Amino acid sequence: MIKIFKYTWAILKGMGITFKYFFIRPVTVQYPKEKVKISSRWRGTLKQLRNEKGEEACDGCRICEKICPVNCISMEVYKDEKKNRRFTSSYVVNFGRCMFCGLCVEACPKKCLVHTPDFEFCAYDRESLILAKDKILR
Amino acid sequence: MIYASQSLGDLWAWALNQFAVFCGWLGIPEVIRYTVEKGAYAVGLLVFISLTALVLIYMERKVSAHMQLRYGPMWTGGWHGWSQTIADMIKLLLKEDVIPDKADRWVHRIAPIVIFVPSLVGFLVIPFDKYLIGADLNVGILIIFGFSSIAVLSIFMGGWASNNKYTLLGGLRSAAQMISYELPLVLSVLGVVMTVGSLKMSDIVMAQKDVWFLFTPNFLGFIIYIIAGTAEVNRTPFDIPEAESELVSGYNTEYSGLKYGFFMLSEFTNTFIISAIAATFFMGGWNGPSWLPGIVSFLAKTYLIVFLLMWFRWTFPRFRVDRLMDFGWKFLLPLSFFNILMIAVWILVTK
Amino acid sequence: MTEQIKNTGFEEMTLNMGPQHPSTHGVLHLLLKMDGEVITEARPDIGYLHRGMEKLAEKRTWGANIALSDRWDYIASMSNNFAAVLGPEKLMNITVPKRAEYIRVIMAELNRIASHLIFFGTYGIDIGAFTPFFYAFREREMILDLYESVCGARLTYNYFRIGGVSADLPADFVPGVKSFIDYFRPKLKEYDTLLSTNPIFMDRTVGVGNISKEEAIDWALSGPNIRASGVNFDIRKDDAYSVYNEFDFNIPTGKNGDCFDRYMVRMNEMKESARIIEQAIEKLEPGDIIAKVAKVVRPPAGEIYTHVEAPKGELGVYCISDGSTLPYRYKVRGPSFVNLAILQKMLKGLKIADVVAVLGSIDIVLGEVDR
Repeated sequence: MIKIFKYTWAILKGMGITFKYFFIRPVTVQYPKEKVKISSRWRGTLKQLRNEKGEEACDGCRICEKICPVNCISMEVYKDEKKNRRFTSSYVVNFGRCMFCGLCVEACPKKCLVHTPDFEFCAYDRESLILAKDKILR
Repeated sequence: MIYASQSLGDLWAWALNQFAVFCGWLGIPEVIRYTVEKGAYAVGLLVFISLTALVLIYMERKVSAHMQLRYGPMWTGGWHGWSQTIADMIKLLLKEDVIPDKADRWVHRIAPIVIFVPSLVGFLVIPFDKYLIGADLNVGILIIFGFSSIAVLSIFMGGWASNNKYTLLGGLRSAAQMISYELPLVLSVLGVVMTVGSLKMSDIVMAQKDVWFLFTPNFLGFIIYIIAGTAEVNRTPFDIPEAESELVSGYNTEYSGLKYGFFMLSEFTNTFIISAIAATFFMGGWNGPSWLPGIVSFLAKTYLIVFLLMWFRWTFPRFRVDRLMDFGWKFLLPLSFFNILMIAVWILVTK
Repeated sequence: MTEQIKNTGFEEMTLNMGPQHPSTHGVLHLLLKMDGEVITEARPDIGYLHRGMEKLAEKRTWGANIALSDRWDYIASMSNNFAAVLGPEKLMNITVPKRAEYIRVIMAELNRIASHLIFFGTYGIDIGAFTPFFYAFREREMILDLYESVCGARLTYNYFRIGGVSADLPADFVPGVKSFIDYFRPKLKEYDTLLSTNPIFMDRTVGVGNISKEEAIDWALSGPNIRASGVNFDIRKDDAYSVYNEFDFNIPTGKNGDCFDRYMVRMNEMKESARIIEQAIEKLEPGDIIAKVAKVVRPPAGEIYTHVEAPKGELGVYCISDGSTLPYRYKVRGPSFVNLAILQKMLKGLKIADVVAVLGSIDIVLGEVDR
């Protein structure tokens, strides 16, 4: 008999909790309408920075290419004799493979490869997930 | 004359009266008059049922969402996603109707109809308002319970005909569950029937003019009724025929499109019927404050019970199938016998 | 039973539970032989999520393997990171800076809470209660927000580095953790009222799926599963790695080793983790976060087995180095994989409703089972 009352009380207490939350404002976010604040360290899609002169800062040291665990970065490098430095003639990131581990950004000696806080990167086909320099260099 | 304060039941009675006078004046035979009257009522009822199902589904979504710190549907139709259920219904209508390859085709097809029709019949004897009752039979409550028993058959048919092991298990479970919970369900109502001395719905409502049976010793019966009723409509904590985490979706796993829609619809109409009976038998039916139309007070009580059932659903875990049987036969059934005994003594003492 | 089947012409039913089933926690495939609702034989069939993690690891540098380790047990990636860095660090004799050690402990324990919260939520769903899931995820979301502010990812953190951690804590991390702990403690009580003391829940879990002490040891269980059987085995205490010997915490154990005990052990572990985090925050002092290590490490030739107490149990990494930048062999002992094995023994004689209760209480992650 006591057991029944104890059980009933436990059940009622459980119901009390759900009832309490019935009147508490939901915590979810109506996503496409309102967006959550993304941390500045968010590891989103990659971006190459330009230097002060407005030309690409990357000098094609290929460290990001080598360190990438999934081999999603590929580049071609040429040497510009006039400016006496290397440039990349192509810099392609296959975001279909990229797992956003951030090792390339960490390894970049020039600090010219950074993450963007963009988490809504998507495409209809796999080819458009492969971004070339015109999209990455911003 | 009609006044704004008059309730829908009075309005219906007045309309019937006018119609009878009109028929008498034209000399239309009684049979046709009767058919037209009941036909009009049936059409109104069908509209009401489909609206109720839509409202209940929407309500379930919102209640569950808010208990779970969510918003639920917010986009479809503008204001708080009010038309989400309509959109879902359209989606269900447009979906492909899949019948499994080795299914028993005819049984598979009939099952959703078999479950839906009894739940429609149940609405006939529910007194929405003073004169607003499809057929005020002198065995009103028995009709409802009798027809709701057919739902077992349908679930079992659906489970068997789908030729799927999960649906089979779901069907078997539901057959065991619904039959064993039918007993406490009927017995719990018996207390009220004994107090009133009639099975007629209108009599039972009239008997509660002064005090609801909820506040008499019938309170125990109310609790038993709610528990058994939850089991009868297969809702958590007694939703083992569907048991999402165990049997995928139970007996309706292999159903799609409109047929699945029927199963879902009947779940909600059954919920409404169970709640409506609770409101009629224990909470005074359409009795209420004089300024409130009877149907409003009836619906308010019904929706309160519906909310209670939803509240159960989104709070409790699910019983295991054998424990469910234990609970039904070893606890609920003796308790309902005790309830009957208690009511009998109470009647004896007060008389 | 078999005789009866022969005599009466009844036959056993084979039920394929999974790989597409709502409560097999991913793509586990259970082959159940059933007599009505009672299970006579159960065989877990795994491999649907096999990605060849160990072979992949042989073609990745030691540093890049940390990023892969995120994918073993994807709801407790910090613990995986922990296991992945300990081996090369020991081979190379690297002393990790104190601050980095404490940060690692805070991260691993927060991850333990997050993982157990997922267990709590999904176990509720397995048993049939939907609502606790959302409450658990609300709290987990706060942990993920904290992680996001530190390492920029919410699921695959890739935060640990050989010799330390990748980034220092942001300014608002420590107050954030403190306020989270303060917020979290009362919520645990709420969970207890919602699920732990619920008679229906107790009815489903108490006395179901018992594992005795001897069985637990024989089947090499680890983590909360073995502790629920009454074996006081916790790598954080027994083979203290990192700075775990500096903290004062209890190891919750159960008595009967049934589903309820396994559940309660995890609930109590969350409290203990909260205590560890508080102590670690007290000890946190400014300093280096990473030791001086080359970008691409070359551990000296040798082999080593390191293990950590992951939320699911003992997560061990056995690695062989041949002195190059790539590991020669990289064997992972996934706790979920080992814990899953006992399922075939436990399920015999139980009902189909108990399958999900037992499976949920073992708390497996298929990413770690199949790797």
